[in-house]
Amino acid sequence: MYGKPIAFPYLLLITLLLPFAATADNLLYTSEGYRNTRYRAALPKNPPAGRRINTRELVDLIRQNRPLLIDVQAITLRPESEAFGISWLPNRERWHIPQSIWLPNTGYGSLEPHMLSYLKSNLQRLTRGDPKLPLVFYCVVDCWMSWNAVKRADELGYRNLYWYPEGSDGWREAGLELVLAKPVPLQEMTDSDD
Amino acid sequence: MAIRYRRTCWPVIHERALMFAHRLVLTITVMVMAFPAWGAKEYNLEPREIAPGTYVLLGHNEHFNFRNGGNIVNTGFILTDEGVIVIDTGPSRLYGEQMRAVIERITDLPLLKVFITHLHPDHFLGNQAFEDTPIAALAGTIEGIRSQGELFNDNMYRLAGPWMAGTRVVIPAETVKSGIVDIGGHRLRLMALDGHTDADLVILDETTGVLFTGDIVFHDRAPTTPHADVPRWLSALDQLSAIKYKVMVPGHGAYLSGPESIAQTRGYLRWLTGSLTNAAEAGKSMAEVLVADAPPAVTRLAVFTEEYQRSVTHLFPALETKALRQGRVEQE
Repeated sequence: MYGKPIAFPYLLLITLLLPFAATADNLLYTSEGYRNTRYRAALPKNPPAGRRINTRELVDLIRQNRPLLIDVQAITLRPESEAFGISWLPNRERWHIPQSIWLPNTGYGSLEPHMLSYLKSNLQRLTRGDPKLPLVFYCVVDCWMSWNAVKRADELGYRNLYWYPEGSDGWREAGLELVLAKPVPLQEMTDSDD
Repeated sequence: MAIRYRRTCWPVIHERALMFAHRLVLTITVMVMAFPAWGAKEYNLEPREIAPGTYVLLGHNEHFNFRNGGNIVNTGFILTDEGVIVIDTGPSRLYGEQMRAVIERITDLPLLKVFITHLHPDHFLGNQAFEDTPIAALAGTIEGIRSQGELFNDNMYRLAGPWMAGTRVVIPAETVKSGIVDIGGHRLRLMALDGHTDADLVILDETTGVLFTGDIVFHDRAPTTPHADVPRWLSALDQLSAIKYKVMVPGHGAYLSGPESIAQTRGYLRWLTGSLTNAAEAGKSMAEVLVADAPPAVTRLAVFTEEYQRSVTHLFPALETKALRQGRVEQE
């Protein structure tokens, strides 16, 4: 009876400090707990929300539930300038899981307003507003962006989330077919001449 | 599916058998095309015994890429009567594991010690596979790995991708300095040099005459300069010239018994700094300097064009500033 109220503030303090315990550099995570730098590193066991799946489970999920597969692999976004419109600039071909939707850069720790609305409006469109439609987020092996994307989707209210941390690398290692990816354009890209 | 047959000299094949054959060929073709993607990645590490009980694993003379998985480095190991001494652990957890498997195929003896020559990622990111063994390095190397190791790890993912899966930084726990150590009956002379980086460990196994130079020496491959202090590096090369050894294992490139690679590394560094200094004093800009005007002895080195351009970004700005400060250049 006495223990709980006394222990609680200490527990809260420890929980709040845990993200900082990982490294002296507290910019590794944003204040909301998104991974904010050094995105390529070994991943934690658990996703921030939803369920973690492996390749076998993803194959079964695709067969049974027809989930949305969201690829968040990051590429260069060339901003609008005098000579050129805003544009995606991949420096190599992206091969990803068939039937995936590529929403690049939506796995960053901090999203600028136009990127957040890009993610929101595409998820809204693809799920037709159904927060229970199964969503699978991935990028490549050992990439925190997929972890961030699951967290972001959870914050946006989606309730049926899957995290596939092995990504396109795991899919290929299993001998499964990858297809050439095309990034979904930003609203501003379709507004300007292409 | 209707299959039409021409009247030829070939025997008539049953329709089903033909379809089967088509499918078989297609399947085999797809399997063969997909083959490189199948299964776990293999570095194909082949140990070469260069002295009794002393083995090296030679890396490719390339830059890091998704094909070589970062294996551009020479690592080695020494079998003593009591156990194994490892020198450098490669660019990834996977390399370290596969290197350890190579060692365990050759001997049952325990691992005694791992030495890391310097802080570059291709030399130490395999440490995870050797965490149960004391990992030793110079103090400067340990400090460098502590402060920059995570950045190197992240960067290696960009360069070698899935080969890096599960790799994390393991900082060497044991500090070593110049001096003689006796391990398993092998007398090792440890030399704390610098120049390629702030702390470069060179090891002479006096018992076998094998000299592990780390990246003080590059053989037939353009030296890398991201942390270089060229005058110190040249001084280190002079010190190596005075050593008697039977076989030299450079950080990159083929092992050899002669002094040619010391002279080659020295020659390259002298040409590089001379050429860039002249350009700085002539008021050239970095863009003009990026296209090298180099003699054949230099351009024939593996990865020359790429390394030269990287070296320009490492070294030219300071030379420019120096030339301006010394009043050697007319500022426009």
